[in-house]
Amino acid sequence: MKSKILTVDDSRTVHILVKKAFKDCDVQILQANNGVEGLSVAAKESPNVILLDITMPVMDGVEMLTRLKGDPALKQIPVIMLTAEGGREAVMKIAKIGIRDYMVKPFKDDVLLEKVGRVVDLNKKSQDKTILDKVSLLLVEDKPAIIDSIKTGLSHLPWDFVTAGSAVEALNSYNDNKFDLVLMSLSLPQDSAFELIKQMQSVRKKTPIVGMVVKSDADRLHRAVQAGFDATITKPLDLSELEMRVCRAIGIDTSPRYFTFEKTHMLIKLPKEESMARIGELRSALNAKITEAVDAGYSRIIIDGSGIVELDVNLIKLIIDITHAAHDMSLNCSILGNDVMKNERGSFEETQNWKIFNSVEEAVAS
Amino acid sequence: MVFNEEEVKCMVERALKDVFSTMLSVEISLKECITIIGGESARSPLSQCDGPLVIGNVGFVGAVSGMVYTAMTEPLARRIAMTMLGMSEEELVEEYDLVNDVIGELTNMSSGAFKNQLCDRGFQCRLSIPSIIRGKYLVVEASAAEFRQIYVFSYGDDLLTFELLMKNDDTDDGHL
Repeated sequence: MKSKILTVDDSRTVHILVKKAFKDCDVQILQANNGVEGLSVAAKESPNVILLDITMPVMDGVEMLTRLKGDPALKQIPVIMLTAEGGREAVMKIAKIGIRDYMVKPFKDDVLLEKVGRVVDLNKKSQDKTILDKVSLLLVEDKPAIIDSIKTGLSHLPWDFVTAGSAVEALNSYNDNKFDLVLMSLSLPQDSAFELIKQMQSVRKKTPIVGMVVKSDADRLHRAVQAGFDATITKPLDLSELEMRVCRAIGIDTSPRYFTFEKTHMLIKLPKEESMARIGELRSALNAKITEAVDAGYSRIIIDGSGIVELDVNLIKLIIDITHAAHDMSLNCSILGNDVMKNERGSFEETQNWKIFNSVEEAVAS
Repeated sequence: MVFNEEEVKCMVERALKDVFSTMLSVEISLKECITIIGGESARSPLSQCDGPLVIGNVGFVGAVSGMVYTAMTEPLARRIAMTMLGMSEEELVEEYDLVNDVIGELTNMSSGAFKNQLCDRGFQCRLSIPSIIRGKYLVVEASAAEFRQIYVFSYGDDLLTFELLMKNDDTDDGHL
């Protein structure tokens, strides 16, 4: 059973940071914005631990803690204070009411994990696959043209597709094999997709199932949410988006296709297509990778735009953000580019002064 | 005032460096310290920047009472929010309030890290709930402040300020 962690804080930022800190743990995060809400959620959900701020509107953390410890049904719940109030006298006063630990903001994720991990089982999720790993998918689709387009469009990935043209065939295959994900058309004959998902979930609940539905079919789209599909993607299919949805549903780390650590530098390969999905994917891993580079002692990053086909505004914004992020961490940053980049940089005010190198060697030597 | 300027400067610098390195993995550095004398009003050194400023405000009250204002340009506030939350620019497009919330929380942590040093020196005080102001020309008039300084920090190529106003409360015995 998942551990429940209740965070009581009036700041949405703190709720997001706490959720992020536990993203690799199989735990349920509950949220409350003040002491009154905190007591109510605690009574309803019986969390395994409470992370409690002090300064909040409506009811502050000290009052909530006092009431919690005075309630026979709730007093056993361990409380870890997570607050900017950290003077010795304040800590001593609160410790007397009864807390398990005290953390003063600012805080690092690993310290929070370590302190909460002492109180509850965090069930760390197994390490995710990366985009370079083999993945096994069951593709349930009765239209051969769509099967071909998916298999061809995603042939650059080491993904194995097992195809099934009907619900019966799909269920047999699902019973005999363990797939990383099921990709299912919602317009199978006799509307059988919705019965099929029920049967699949009764066999194995954890396998993610992504539904494919025609864009204009609002009814099926709505029913898919109710039926428990992990995600849906609309037809006509955008294959980049499909790839991204599948990666998200399985928990595939896509960063290796953009970030590689070389001997002298970290290389950031810009996506060839100007797809927002790709740019978003790169951005979501950017800060973590830059931190990783700094941690590993790198002092240089090289942005590799040698494969791009057009220097558009989204790509320019991405490059500018990468250079800012590198600059914030005192990393040297160089741009490697092709003729497209060189020719098109003059068209924009932001890019005309960019120095673009022809090779990694040139960039490293700069 | 019970603290001298140098002592307070060290406490502020320690507090802000700790908060920014812990929450954003960014090293900031103190560039300038401006003393405001008496009750004169002072415009933020950032008011020359283009566009509006995002200003986080937190008070503290007790044996020493005061106000803190952290100010930065809107693009920097947005970049800080992106870095701190690990979100992309696209994800933050509609999140005007979330950027405010991040700066409010950062101000809360910075003020807390400063005021906890006051507490550890025997001057007990408590923080207030943060608030956010957006605008171009913030002028604070504080006739009662015995101590008032604006600390200008560099964050990469950008600047942010931490303005501190303080006074002793002779009637407070220093205990919470």
